[in-house]
Amino acid sequence: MKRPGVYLAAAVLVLLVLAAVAPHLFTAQDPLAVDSARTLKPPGAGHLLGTDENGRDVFSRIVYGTRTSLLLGFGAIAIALTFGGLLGLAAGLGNRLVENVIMRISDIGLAFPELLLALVVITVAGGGTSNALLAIGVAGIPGYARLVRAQTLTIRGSSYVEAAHALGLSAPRVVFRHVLPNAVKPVLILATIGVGSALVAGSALSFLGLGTPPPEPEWGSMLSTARNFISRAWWYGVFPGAAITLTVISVTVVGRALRLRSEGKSW
Amino acid sequence: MPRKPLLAVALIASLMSPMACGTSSGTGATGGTTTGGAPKAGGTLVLGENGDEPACLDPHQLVTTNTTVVDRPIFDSLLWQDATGKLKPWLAESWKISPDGLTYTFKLRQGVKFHDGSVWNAEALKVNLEHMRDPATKSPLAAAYIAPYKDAKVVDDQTLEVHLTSPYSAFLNVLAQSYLAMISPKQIKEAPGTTCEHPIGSGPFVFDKWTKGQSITYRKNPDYAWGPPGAAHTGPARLDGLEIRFLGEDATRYNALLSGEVNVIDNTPPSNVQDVKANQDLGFTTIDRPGHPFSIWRNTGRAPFGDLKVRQALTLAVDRKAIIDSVSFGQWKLATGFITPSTPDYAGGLDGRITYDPAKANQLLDEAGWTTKGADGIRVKNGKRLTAIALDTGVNPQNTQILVQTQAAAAKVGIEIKIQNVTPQVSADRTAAGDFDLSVGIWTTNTADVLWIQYASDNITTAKRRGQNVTRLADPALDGLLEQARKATGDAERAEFYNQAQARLIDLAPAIPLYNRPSLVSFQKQVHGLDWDHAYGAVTFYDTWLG
Repeated sequence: MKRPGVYLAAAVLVLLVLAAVAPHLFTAQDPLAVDSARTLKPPGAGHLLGTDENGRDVFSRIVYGTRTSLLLGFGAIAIALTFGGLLGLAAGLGNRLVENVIMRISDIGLAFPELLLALVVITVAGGGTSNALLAIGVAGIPGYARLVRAQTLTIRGSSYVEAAHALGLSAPRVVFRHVLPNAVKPVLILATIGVGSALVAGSALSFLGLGTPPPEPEWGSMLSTARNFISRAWWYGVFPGAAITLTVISVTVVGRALRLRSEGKSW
Repeated sequence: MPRKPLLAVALIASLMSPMACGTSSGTGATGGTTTGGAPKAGGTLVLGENGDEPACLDPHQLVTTNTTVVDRPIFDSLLWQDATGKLKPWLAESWKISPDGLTYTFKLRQGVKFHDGSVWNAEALKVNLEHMRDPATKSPLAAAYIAPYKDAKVVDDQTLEVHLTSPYSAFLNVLAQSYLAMISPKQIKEAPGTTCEHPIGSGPFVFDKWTKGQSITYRKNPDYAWGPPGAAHTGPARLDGLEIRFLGEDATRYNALLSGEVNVIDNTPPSNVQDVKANQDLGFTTIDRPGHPFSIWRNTGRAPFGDLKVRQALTLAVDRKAIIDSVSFGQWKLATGFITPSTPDYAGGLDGRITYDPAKANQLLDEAGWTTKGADGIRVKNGKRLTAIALDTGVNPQNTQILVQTQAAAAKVGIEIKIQNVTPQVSADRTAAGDFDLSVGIWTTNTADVLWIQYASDNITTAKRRGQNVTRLADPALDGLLEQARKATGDAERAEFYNQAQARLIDLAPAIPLYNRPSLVSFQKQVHGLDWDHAYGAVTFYDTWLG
């Protein structure tokens, strides 16, 4: 193992996925169990990472919050990648008019910070986990459209595509068999890194009170609430924050390793 | 559904305010008054306020909770309410009420001048009352508070006769509130469009500058010689200037006080009160606000809370004391009824009527027909789950906490509460439209007439008229009591009607009263002479000085 960090990061991701799928394996505590008499208790026996302002177990809320938090991160990128990819492909292959329309619209989208775009979507569609996911995903579309278009343009002019045309393959077959996979591959790896920023954006929306509604646990909203108690309950903010940080670092490290490998370089 | 911006309950709660009498806790003067030697003049005091910044500074157009803090420096009122709840002369020297309760004759103080040089007289008072009532003012609160006003007659320069359409026992009380403070008559007549952005009053401070989203600054009014009765001094304010900064984040506001960036903070985060008290360099003072306690309002106009037993069951299911103590770190007092003890005509005999008894809650829900439970423990009737929608704006972290803990308590007896995050505007609209089951809020005012505003069936919002009865309670017996209390001309008679109304409300359970909201004010030890506007329970700065 030349790079133990990559394996460590991969192990963290495996654990996170496990926690998202089967949180009960990690903790016996109910993340929703309120105890008004035991609020903001420090880490200790009974509550590994302490309790929050409603007396709920912080550890179990982090564990149970994994699913929503990861869903926000990966789901948003899936939306951005799917729609951004299709639009980018269309722009790269279509005639001038199609390309201009798609790219000018995406330029407008790119002119706004992603979080601001997400806020616009939330304002129109309302808050909640699925809308937050949608909002971040939509906000990410212009960026991916541009990336995929650039890749498509390069590939379109490549000799193997010309060869495919020369062999008389149908246009759809050329597009979906040869252009799309090659255009999306490098973008896909970039997207793993994007998962990290989508997760942070999801946390930011929750932080603003626009994401996951109470009482469902979600890292960003935990962090958001915790800031009001930071002077007397450090554990409440530090651990959800650490979970976000750890996830983003892990995803980024693994994504980078994948990218390097796809480029034929060593990790 | 009406989609006009309405005062939603939640908003209202946070919006309305003032009040008065009764037994205000504390004597008023606060802020290191005992030490520090002789008062010194000069200096500018900086107050850190929460993020509830008014959209306009015209008191007649306001509903926000910070109206008194922001506007009292600029504006004086007809009457002043003292610490014991008594109404004292201020811009009115004296007043007489006709035996039928329909005519009020005010004799006005002489020598009062507004910041623009215009003179305080009978005409000025009349112009102000008309301004509150003028539809163009779009007054959400002052207009409602003087709804029975019919017209006024200038008897002589210093005497105004005010006629009401019906007897209104709360009339003098509301006139002591900052929402009904006196604006320059010249400004109202000549430039009514400027009252929001450039307020002109007769108060101890002159409005200087308003940087929206940040701060409001004031400078001393050197001609001021009509301070409220009971103030520690006469003449101009001791401070040269005043600045109110809006620091919405609780932690930011508290840290601004610690770092000395501000001298005083209002709305001290409850979680920091103990820290303030333990800090040698800081002082702390508090007062409970009058009016309707902070409550969870229930929509009685639809299922499930149309059913009295379900309402009673939820009240019984909630351990109010445990919730309030945990949310406020012991800084809030548990509400004992539908008005707070610092409100006149509070029915102290009803204390202890609202209880915590989950077993009884379960029994009531069984009686109401919600007998079967789903796999998750939520009750079901005719295939329908016992679900209630609660609106939360997320603006106030304590409100969210209260809803979450209530949600957990409700689940234990088989009631599912779904908390929906909505913007304040959506919350206001949906509350007004009756599209909700639970909503939190408070209404601060200095008279028990708040019960009429909140629970009289006349005040249910209709297509024609927007009312503040957000619970949509319609009970003829209660309506009768509140109406009679409004018309009562004797104190004892009025108190008796309000007594019965408060008992009736506990039986009808349109809301779960939770706590009496205090003003929690923290200050640097160099600050002396902070005082209260008792008509609202808000901090004032006329006597204040910096050591």
